[in-house]
Amino acid sequence: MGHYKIPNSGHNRDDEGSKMGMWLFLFTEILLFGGLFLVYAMYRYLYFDAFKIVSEHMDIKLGAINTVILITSSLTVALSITAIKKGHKDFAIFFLFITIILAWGFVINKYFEWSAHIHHGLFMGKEAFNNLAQGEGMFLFLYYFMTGLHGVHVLVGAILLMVVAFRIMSNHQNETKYTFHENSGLYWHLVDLIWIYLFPLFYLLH
Amino acid sequence: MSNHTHKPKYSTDLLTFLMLMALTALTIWASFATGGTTVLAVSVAMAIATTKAFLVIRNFMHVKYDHVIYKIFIGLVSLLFLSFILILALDYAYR
Repeated sequence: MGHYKIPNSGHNRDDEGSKMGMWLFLFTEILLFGGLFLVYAMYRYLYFDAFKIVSEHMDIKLGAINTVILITSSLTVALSITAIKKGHKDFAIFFLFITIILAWGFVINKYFEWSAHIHHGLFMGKEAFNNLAQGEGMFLFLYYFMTGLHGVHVLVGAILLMVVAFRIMSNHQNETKYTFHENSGLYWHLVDLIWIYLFPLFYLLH
Repeated sequence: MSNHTHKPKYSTDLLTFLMLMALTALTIWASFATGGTTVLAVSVAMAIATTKAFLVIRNFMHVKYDHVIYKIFIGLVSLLFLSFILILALDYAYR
């Protein structure tokens, strides 16, 4: 009986497979939000005037600030990946921490925005909300649901990037091994990608 | 297999960022210029958003350096989503 060697035995590492798996996960995320965008489109068509009335009260300035924050954070994540590929570990960590600060900036901004609406009673179950026309309430419900789900993704992304930073510090990620960093970056860019559509739909079209 | 031999550049990231910021300014301006809820306003807003999404996917997510299979997958998922929109629109247009 001939003897043979098992290829890669004990050291299996498949960077490409890992990235492909991440992209497949991102597709499920895109279709999750895609379904919500379809619901938005349907109700916008059904309650055109109601959507127009409520969307006029959205704060474009806060929405624009959050857009700038997310685009800037997408840049800093991209820069951190470029840095790790070049072997500039300190830069990579620096850019990741800037990204995490920006992520918190986004969440805090969103907190103030939601608080202002809730303060005016515009939240499910409150009197002012219950007195709204059906379409107006639906716009706000979709606004809370979609931006809330997106906000959860921002928090998950920020935690992932923190883990990446610690893995670089402990040399588990470096210029020859950066797939976890790259995949976490892909997730963060998806968060930015979804906001790119949420911003005009909830803040600009009125 | 992805092209890990390409030389990553900070300048490409910065250029993409500047284009995204310019498009953000454009979409805010366009929303006022086109009157908010007209068909034109929605079309312009979605066209600008899709251009921004294309830049993020191509440059920030590095799909331009990846194997063609990623581009095919992204194209197929986009087509799938567009078909959902079309089916929904046809359903409401003809009921």
